[in-house]
Amino acid sequence: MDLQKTGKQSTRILVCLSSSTSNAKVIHAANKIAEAFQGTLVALFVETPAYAQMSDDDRKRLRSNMNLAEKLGAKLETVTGDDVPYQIAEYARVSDISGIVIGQTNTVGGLLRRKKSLTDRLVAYAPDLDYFIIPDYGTKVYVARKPAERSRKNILSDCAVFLSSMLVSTVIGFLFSHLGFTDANIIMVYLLGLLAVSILTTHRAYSMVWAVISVLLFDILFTTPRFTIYAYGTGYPVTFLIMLAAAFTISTLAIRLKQNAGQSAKAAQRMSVVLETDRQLTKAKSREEIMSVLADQLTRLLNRSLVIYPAENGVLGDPVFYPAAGDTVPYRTNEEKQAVEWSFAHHKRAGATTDVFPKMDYLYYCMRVQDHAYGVVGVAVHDSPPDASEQSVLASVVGECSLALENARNAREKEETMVLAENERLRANLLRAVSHDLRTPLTSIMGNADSLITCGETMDAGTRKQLYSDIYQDAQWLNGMVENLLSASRMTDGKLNLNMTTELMDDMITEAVNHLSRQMRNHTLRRTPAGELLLVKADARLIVQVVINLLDNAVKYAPEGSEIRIDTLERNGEVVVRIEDDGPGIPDDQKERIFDLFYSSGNPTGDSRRGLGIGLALCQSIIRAHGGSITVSDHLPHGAVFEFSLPREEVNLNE
Amino acid sequence: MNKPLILIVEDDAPIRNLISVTLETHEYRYIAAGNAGNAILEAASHNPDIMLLDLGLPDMDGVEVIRKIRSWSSMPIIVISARSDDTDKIEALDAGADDYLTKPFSVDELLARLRVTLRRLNQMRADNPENPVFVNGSLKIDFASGCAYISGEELHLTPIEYKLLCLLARNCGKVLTHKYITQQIWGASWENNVASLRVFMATLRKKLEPSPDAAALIQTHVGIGYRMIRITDN
Repeated sequence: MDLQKTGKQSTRILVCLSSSTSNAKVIHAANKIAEAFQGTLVALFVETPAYAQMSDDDRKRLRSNMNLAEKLGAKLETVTGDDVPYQIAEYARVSDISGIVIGQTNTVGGLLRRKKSLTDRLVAYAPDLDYFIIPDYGTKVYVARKPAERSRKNILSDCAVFLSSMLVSTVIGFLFSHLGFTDANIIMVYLLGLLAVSILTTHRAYSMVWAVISVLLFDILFTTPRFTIYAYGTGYPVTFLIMLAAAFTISTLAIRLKQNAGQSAKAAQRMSVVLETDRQLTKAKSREEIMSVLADQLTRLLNRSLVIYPAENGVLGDPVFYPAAGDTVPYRTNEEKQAVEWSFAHHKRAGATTDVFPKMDYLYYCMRVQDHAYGVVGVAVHDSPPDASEQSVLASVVGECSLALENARNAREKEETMVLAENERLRANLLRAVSHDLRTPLTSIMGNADSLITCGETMDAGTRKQLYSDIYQDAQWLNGMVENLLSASRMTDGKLNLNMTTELMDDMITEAVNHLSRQMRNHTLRRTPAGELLLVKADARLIVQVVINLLDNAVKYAPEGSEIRIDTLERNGEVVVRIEDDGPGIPDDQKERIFDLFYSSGNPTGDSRRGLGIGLALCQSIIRAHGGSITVSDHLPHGAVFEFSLPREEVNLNE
Repeated sequence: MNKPLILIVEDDAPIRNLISVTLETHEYRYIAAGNAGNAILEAASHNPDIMLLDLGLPDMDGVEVIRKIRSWSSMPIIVISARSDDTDKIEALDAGADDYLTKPFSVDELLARLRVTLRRLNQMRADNPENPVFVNGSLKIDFASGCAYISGEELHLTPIEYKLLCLLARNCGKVLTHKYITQQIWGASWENNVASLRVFMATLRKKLEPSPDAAALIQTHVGIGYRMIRITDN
């Protein structure tokens, strides 16, 4: 046997689950086989129509077999279908299964296929697989049992359907007979009635009874001699027999059709929930969104109460409870804690219906991808354990969400690293540029102060005053630079560092204007505030810095004696500030680069003009961090217009 | 009147020197301390008129010094902060400081703050605390009748605006933080109250506009708070 197929990560061994008592033996054997091949074990349960009628004992056994498989590390899967071997073969094909472990007498009930064993038929469907047959004598697998009790309501409605169909069929029969149609037409009417009864009633007994009664009625009412059970025609006994056989076959087919339809509908609904989950998960970005998708989908799917424990950095957080409609049982956080913690620590299911803390009210799934657990989801059980297919959908929805959480975490980590790298690069550039640019004013300050100390007495008053004012101006420039650097350091630490408060735009402009009053002595300032109060949510210190930088630029470039204008206005829900000067303006080819870090208009490396390009770059990153935008345009006939906008903030007045 | 006595608390010698020289040339008397321990000792033994306090001291947090001083004295305290972050200033103001200066400050600025504080000090000493009428420039508030006048004209204020005006008037010359004001007016300092405060302050100012000195009457300290300025008669 060559199981080590090339190109495969590992061998996958499939074991079929059933409610049989010997199934445990098969599972153990499968586990040993999987271990021997160092492969993974997949435990598959095929949910057939008969599953719905399974007795409680069988269900319990099935569940314990499932738990066993899971405990041994098998991956649980459920497929739905009528034809068990076909479903197994299909699953094996799509899931790259290399070997199947199966109990020999492991046949599943079904009226029309008893001739061949499950294994034979499985081999016929999937001849390429390796089979491991585990002898399994003396035990019966679940045979569809009659449901112990049926509601009175069902019986009443079924009887009504039965009797009215019979009546209608017979009336039509009389009509046909009266019109002189042949017997065959009447037989067809009864067969039609049979079809209706088998589809509309809940139990096949009605169809059987119908088959017998319809033959009798036909015999009594429509064959000569009429109103006796005798029939003269020689062919009639054959007709009766064929009619009976047809009735029997039709009823069987109809009932299977019905069951399949019901099952497909259920499967389709589950599939749609899984798909919908997928769709919503692709939209959900944050952890909270993913958790809420999980809660939404699971409550929709199961109509059970849900509890989610999100985990952060390996520590379980507080539970979030999503009660289902009608579930009034309070959640016992303290009592359930053990199961939750066990599930989180061991990355496995725990709580109700499992072997670990089975006394709990809830069944817990650990949301994990490989070795990282993202939290625990609990599903209310309250004495009605979720069936196999519910569990399987649950597991797949939980799995999808875990993957989404993993993706979100990876994306976040990647983003963080990128931001970190970008910050690192910025910081290095900044340091280099700053140390270079600081030297120029420092040289001037040191030189001027030195001259004043050593030969101040010999200078005339005018020269001395010039040196003093040079020192003052250079120091002032350095101070502005330090303010910008401090703001920049707060910006590079990320958006979280912003100290957002609701501020009046005009207050912040006033503050900036006061700060620059000394530099603006030689310019006229004209302010046009908006007619109404414009509030923005902003880090006041940083916005003031933006206005200072823009004004400082205007002062630097506009000729002395010219006018600088500041307008505040409201436009499309945004607060706009315009600063206009009559300077030389900014050439079009420089407009795009003017906000780049370290870009300085004119000669970028020259020391003659101090204009370390940090000011405008800082303005841009501050405004962007506030969700606004900053632009530059021309002021006619010459000059520049800087305009920035911030989202307007509304306030509910507390009177 | 005697020359006012200023206590300089600053650990950096060149700046201490700068302040001392400035004060000396502008006719103030001063004493200086280089750390918090000496500062408290000097404050207790000389009972200065105003204290200039650097927040970054080697032996104790400046805010802690304010709390200690406030436990026995109401002398005006002007804090000097090197950090551009507002939080330490706000903390100092909430702890009982009257005003603040941010390094680097100009000599003019320092002298202006001292003048404002001295006016406040003189007013505090002259005022009868139970005085039912408050007058500042063209603004007059009659606490007893609950009316405010600007240049003799009665102001039509909403209850909140009136409360705000009274609060500023009673603390004339002192910087009041947003937190302090909102707690006094609404009893709590929620984000929405701070935002509301901006709006009420703006409307209050608009109503004071007829006065020639309205613009100077209420100062905005962006990110920190508000202050009513004592208008000089000259």
